[in-house]
Amino acid sequence: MSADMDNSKIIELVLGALDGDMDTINAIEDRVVRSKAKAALFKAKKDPEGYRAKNIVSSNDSEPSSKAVSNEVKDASLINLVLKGLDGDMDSVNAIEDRVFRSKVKSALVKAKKNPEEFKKLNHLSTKSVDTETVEKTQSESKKDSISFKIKEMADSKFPGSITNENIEDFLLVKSDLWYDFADMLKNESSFLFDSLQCQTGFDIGEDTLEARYNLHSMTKNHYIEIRIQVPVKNPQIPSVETVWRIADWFERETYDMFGIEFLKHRDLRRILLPEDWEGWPLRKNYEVQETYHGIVIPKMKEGWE
Amino acid sequence: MGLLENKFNDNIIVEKLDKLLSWSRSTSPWFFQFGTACCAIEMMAAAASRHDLMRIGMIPRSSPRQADVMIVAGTVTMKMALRVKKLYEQMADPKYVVAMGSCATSGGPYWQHGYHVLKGVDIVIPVDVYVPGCPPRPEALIEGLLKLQEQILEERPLTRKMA
Repeated sequence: MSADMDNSKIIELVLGALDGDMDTINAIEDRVVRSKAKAALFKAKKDPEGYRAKNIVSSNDSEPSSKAVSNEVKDASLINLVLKGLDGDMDSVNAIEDRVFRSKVKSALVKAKKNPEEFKKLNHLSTKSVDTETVEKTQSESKKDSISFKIKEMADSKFPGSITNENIEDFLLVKSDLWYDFADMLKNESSFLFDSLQCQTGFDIGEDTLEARYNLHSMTKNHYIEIRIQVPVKNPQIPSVETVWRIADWFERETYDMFGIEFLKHRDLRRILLPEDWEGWPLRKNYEVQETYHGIVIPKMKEGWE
Repeated sequence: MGLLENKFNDNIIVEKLDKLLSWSRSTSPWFFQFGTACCAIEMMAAAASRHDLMRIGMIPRSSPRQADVMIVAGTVTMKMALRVKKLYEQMADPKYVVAMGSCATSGGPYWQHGYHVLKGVDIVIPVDVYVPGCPPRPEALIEGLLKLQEQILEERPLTRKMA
């Protein structure tokens, strides 16, 4: 009987050690058991997967009722903890009392970090089967909580039709003619308070469309949003938000300089980098360099470089 | 006997005025202190105490009116080219230009692409010495400036040039 006990104990210890927990083995008082465990571990390390498969099955066989259930519960919570750890929440992992279980979680986390996407995909399925309701609930709640959904909700009531993209998780595509009022709302509405325009830039996205992008951050609320506005190349006009965020003054001048997007009601819309009398908009896809500038010939392309 | 014979003490050197002028010019070519890009950092290092341009008689001046040498230190954009030309025109004769670094000599990394970069400052102003490097070390710049001094020393400003 005692030999049996020892055996199952050793198997447990070796399994723990395979997951990286050597402390428990080293902490065994009984020298015989300790050396047995170490010897078993040495063998097991040659074929860890086989050892695991064999012994998890055998332990299930010996005690099918209680241990299997507790294992399943532990597995589910392990996966949850690893998912949390992947999202950066290490505190709940570190707070585990049981040392063996903690080290198991940590080693699983190390493995999961090698391919987090795969792990998440795999385990969303399994956690769903365990705890489908809570997972779905938290997901839908986090969606409703995200700032872009809140903005869309308010924009739909204040400026219906201003947001034109369907999938609004990453950015909001705003209609250009409503942009000034929209920006004013983003800055002054008490639940948004986007007080900092971090970046404003332009894109030539092809298909005769230019795009202006605004990266906003709220220092008081600590949330971010990206706004995109698309305008046709033939008539690239966007209302200026220079009076809303003062920094937009030079940002918009730069976008005007490089893309020729005209910011309406900007108080000082001049080129900011290139000389005033430069021709064309350099960052557009169809830009052609002018031949001369004040009598200085601009070479198109020098031959024989490569 | 000649008019000047036995008239001088032995601390007087007799030399051609022509040569004297070029010698005095060559030993104190004050340079115009302005940089257009990263080469300016090396120019500052060359002027600072470790390399000390002043020991070869070069003092940075902040005005083109007081400067003899213009060190074009760095990339010259089309916008800047007009201003460089204007500054050069404001310098008093005799004036010299050192093109420092790849950008000022040939356009450097912007040689093929870079619509807004002047491919060498010699397109707008005459250059006396080219210092290659990206950026050149202070030693390289000093070497270039010594070459310029040699060049000035060989000048004969008073002699009539043969056609």
